[in-house]
Amino acid sequence: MSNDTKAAAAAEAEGTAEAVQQPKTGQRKGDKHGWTKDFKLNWILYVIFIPCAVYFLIFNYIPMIGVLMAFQDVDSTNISLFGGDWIGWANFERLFTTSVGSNFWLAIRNTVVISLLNITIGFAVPILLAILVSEVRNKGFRRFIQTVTYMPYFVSAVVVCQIVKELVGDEGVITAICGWFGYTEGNLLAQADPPTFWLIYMFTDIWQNAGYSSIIFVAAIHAIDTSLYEAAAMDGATRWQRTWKITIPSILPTIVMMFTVKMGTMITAGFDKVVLLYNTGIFDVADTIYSYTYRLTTGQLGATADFGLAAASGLFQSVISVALLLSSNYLSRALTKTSLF
Amino acid sequence: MTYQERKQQYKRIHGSGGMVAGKSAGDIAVTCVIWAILFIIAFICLVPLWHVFMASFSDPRQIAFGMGDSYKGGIVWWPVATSDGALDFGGYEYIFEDGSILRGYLNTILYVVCSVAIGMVINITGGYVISRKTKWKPFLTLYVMFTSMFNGGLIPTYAVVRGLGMTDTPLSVIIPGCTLSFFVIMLSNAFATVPESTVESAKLDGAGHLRIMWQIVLPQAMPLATVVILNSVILQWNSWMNASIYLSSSVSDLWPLQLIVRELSSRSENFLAAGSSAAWSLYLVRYTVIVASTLPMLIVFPFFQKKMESNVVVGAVKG
Repeated sequence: MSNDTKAAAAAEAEGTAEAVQQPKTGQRKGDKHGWTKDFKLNWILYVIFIPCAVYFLIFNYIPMIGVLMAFQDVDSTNISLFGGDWIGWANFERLFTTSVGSNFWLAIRNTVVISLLNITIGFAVPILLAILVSEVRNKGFRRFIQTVTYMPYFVSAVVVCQIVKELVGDEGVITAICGWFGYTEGNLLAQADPPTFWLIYMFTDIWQNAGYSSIIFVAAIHAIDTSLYEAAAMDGATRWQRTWKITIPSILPTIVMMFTVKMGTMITAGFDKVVLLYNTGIFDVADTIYSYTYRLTTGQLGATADFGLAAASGLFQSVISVALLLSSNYLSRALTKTSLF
Repeated sequence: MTYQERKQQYKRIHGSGGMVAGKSAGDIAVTCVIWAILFIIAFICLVPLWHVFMASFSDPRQIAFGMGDSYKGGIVWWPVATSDGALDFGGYEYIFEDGSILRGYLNTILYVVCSVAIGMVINITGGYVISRKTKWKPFLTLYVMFTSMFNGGLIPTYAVVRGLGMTDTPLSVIIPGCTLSFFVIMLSNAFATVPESTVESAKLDGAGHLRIMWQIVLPQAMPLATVVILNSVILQWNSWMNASIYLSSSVSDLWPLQLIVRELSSRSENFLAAGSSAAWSLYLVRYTVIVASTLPMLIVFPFFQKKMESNVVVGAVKG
């Protein structure tokens, strides 16, 4: 308690000193007092930080060290973080040569294709939706559209995938529609020819997330000064020109920001839906690095648990995702002068 | 001519109501096209849910093959009655007699409440400390942020959870994944915007850090804290991955709702394939389980939407 009071008093003195000196020495505030003084002043804060520190230490930092398991001979029945024999790159060699229902190279290809679809079409749809929504002047209708498109975001991935299975199944509606255009009849999720699963996955993702993702763009459009539009209208700009010359340039910073965020997370986000959607027949086109790791971890879906391989493919994914995150961050800094880190 | 003069002139010519609106035939046509597209989009968003809802008390024999008297395949717009003209509620009876879905609900509610509570303690304390002006601030920020950059992956995390003896216990669903570094940073940004003078005056009144955190800073950051809570609730409610890895089928009475949905659906899917002797109502389970697990979320959805929409922008600007 006395320490508390002391700290509070010290903090108070510090605050006053700061208030007085800030204009002149704001820059040099850091080296005004040393680490010991800071600790004496703020030790309570560091105590308060302990739960947060411990949580991230246990569930994020220790597993980070655990990536070394990828270079160890891991016992799949009795797993422990440390203690396997070092076997160098053997797990990776096995990863790229063996086949577990599908082959890892195909999993990489599928991950890349699905991510690219996701970051192009999947990224453009919310922006288009936002532009269309903000072109509607009837408030009630606009609200209705936003609510309805936002709703699927609240439906869980398990349920969404269950509904998709129903719609593209043997008797599904989408199967029937594809049938009219001469596409193969029967369960679309059993089609092992390339684009089918990728498109199903893409549309599933768009259906679930487009409304949610569009909110931020709607808000950005809403924030545009209406006098710009009025001036443009007076000068005879058509609606198309107003959209193209005012709306899009105005929300470009938001677009760039969201794009870099999406790019940074594209290889980790949302792939649990693959696990829910696919089946042993279409692993070649549907398996992604994430689902591949999942199968090896749980031993479900036609794989037997192999922790060494799973650790290797997990590390592979982590490395790619770090590379993507760093490059998206660099891109963001270059384009918008803001960055995440 | 000044801007205002030109505006007046424009108003005289084009009428006062539609400055940007315009009234030309072309504009009206464009508006119609936009409305039509948006109607189609809304339709696509709603129809799958409607289809499932209607099918959930239809005649399973007709639904399964799309070859009934009153149903020839496609969307189930209205419930398809059985041959004696009644609706079939067997699917609902099945899941409630089975009981696992109720247990799933209880488990999920327990997991969501505990995990969001623990998560919020971490978010608030962590966010508060990071938001204060200390010498360690950059390191603490990096400590939290770094976890969003690199993660060990499924296997090392599994090894840790298992090493802690959490697998096959409720803790494995509650504690790992109860928060994200993003949430901590979001809250710390919200805390940082609370005026320093408010905090200082509280300090003068002798308030310690805990009191400042709970009674001064948190109430002011409540809009964003609510967004974080709602986001955590949705994440937890809908999550199934952690449970499917950490809770084996030997403890299926600990499974959260989403795993039960998965389990019941696959049972229903195998019904036709295996030619089982079970009653036809099992076929309907694939629909009823979706309705039973999703309806409550969609009922509270408008509340969530209102809170989240009004703050998502704030969060984005500050974050």
